[in-house]
Amino acid sequence: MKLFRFLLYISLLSIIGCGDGPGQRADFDETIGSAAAGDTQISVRDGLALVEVMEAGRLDLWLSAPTQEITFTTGPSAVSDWDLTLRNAPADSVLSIVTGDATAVAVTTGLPTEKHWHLRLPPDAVTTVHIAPPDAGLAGPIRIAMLSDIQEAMSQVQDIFARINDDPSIRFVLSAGDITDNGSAEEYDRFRRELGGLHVPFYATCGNHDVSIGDMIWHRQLGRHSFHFNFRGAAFTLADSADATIDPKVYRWLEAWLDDGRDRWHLFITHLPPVDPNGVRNGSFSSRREAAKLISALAGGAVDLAVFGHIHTHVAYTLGGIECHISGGGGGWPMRWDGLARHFLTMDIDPVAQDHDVKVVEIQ
Amino acid sequence: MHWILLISLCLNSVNVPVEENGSAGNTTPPAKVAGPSSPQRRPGEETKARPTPARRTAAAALALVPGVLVAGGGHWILGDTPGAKKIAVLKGAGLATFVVGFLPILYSNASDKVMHASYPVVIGGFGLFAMATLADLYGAVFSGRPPGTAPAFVPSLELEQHWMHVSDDQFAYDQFWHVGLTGRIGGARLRGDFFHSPADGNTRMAVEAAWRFLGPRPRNAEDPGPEQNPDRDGSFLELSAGLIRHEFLPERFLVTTPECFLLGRMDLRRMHPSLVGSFAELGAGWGMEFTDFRDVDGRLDRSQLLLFQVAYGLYLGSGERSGEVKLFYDHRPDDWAGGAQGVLGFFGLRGRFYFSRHWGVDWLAERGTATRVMLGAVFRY
Repeated sequence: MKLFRFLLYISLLSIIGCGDGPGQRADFDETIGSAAAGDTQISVRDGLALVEVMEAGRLDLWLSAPTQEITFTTGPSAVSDWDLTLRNAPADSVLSIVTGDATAVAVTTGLPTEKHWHLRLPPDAVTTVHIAPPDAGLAGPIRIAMLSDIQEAMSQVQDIFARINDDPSIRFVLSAGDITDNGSAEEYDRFRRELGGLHVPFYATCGNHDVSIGDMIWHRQLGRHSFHFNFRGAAFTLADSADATIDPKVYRWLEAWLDDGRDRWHLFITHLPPVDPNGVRNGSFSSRREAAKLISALAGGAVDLAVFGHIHTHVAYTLGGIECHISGGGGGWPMRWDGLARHFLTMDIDPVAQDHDVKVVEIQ
Repeated sequence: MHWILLISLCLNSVNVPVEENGSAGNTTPPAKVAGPSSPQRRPGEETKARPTPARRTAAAALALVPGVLVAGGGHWILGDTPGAKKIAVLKGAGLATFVVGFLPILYSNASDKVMHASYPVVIGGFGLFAMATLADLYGAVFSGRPPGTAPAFVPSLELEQHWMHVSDDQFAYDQFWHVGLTGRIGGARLRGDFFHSPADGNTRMAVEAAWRFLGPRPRNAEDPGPEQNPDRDGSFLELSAGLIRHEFLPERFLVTTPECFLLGRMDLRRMHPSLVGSFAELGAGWGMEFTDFRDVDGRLDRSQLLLFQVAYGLYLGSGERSGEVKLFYDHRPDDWAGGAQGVLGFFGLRGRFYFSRHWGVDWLAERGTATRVMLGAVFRY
């Protein structure tokens, strides 16, 4: 077993950063959220949902954020009746028609994170729908959870989900990645089945394990690797650092996201810590210069909190004056002698008071 | 590593028959043979058949491609069993050191409690292993050819000026000017460096003070001239302390890094005759980065640096027209090239050659997350 793990570590070290490169992943991110079927096109604002199925009369989306804005552009011969299914959606999501003469009827489903509507879209029109919890646009306190580095402990993840479900005030779970151990399609299928046991949505950026096979499996299963959204007056940015670097294209997006979040309470999430608090171990960005560049940008953008994964313990520290947490407690290869069991974080955020409180929840 | 194999194949494809006196038909004068025990001529060399180009190529390929499994395979193919055994021992020691260091990391899943003790051992093992692989390759390609020799003298003063290009997707800078000055008195060495990018104002200044415990020092009146000392040995052991100040103007941060470093070089003629003309370097140190973010008031960010270098090089030429070139791995993630991938540092090739007593050229190529190349002139006195 030890020999196997040794060989596994060597192979993982050798493949870190293999698979699809960060530039390719950023390019694919730009394609997320757009599709067409027959005489109907759809576009999801900011690519915050993956189009899983789009065929005449049926649209299935996997969401990367709790608020969605979807625009349907129909031609003269477009199908008018559509079944819209949203997966990984907040249970209290409601649909409102922003523009157009469409009608929508909610349909009850079994899973709390799966929402269903029957839409009737007029032909030759542009229809925009907004889907979000009723309080999504109202600035106010929220509680979220943070869970990363599940990897080979996926078979035990339901006890973490049960603890999260026990707290109905948690609105959604964020993750800094390494959900899977080797990024295979089978592992993602398994994880999506496991998510059936979680009562709130799970939004994640990728870790190095998640993209080690590559072939855009993440992209096909969970959507974007880097994205940004707002909820209840707080800004959330998730950036892909699976290759121990952030692609220059993502840095350009980050400029806009930092501008958007400058006057809000702002959480930044990426898989690798830019700087490892244990500099000798250096489980961090490949380049300290790039790490400093990122920290300088985050500090200049008034980011309030940054959370990373990759290192399988919990550490709280500061970078560039920003409160940072490393939380890799999902169960993958747990660090010994750190006095911690598997864990996740809860974050109580008050965007109005620009304040937050982070707690570690251990799963004994 | 494929390019090393390519170089070795090219070298072998132009294999010039070595004459009995050791001259290979090039302009380098034959090294003086001190006697049967001279490392530049192995016992029985005159009677042993020279390896054919095909055999050398096979030896070089074996040294590299399955080199992890067949330690010393290059020397073994050439019939140099003692050399193969020494390389196997070195490689085995490297592997054992690596495993000894890695096991606690593996068991603890990279616990903070073991990293400071174990990680340097892991990297040291990697260094010995890499050194043995390159020694096997060197012996396979160069043994029996006239070797270069260690520098004829250690200059008291060296002035360098370089053009530097850094290709880094993350930063706008690319062109730099570099000026470096080194002064030596006895075992002491003082060095200063200044890098500047006119385009974006990126500037790095560094000062370093070092003491050489072992090895050649600047010549004094008692030293024999180079012609009188053909068995020069470039081995040394040096401890240095330095301070780097690197300012990134557009990115609004400044990094100050005090560090210390112990570097040793061993001429590998000491290890085996087939390795005459080559050397290995191993160095380790520690640094602390202090980063000052312009948009942040208050204390600086601090972060430790594990410094480590391993290099394999060969001397070029002899006498005053001489130099050296080395292939190296540098573990530091904070330099221009950054780390290559994951926890790895960067790889590079560095060389220097003096055309005359005073003037020479210096070049460098590195690849990590970024690429850095330098080309410049050197004056020595």
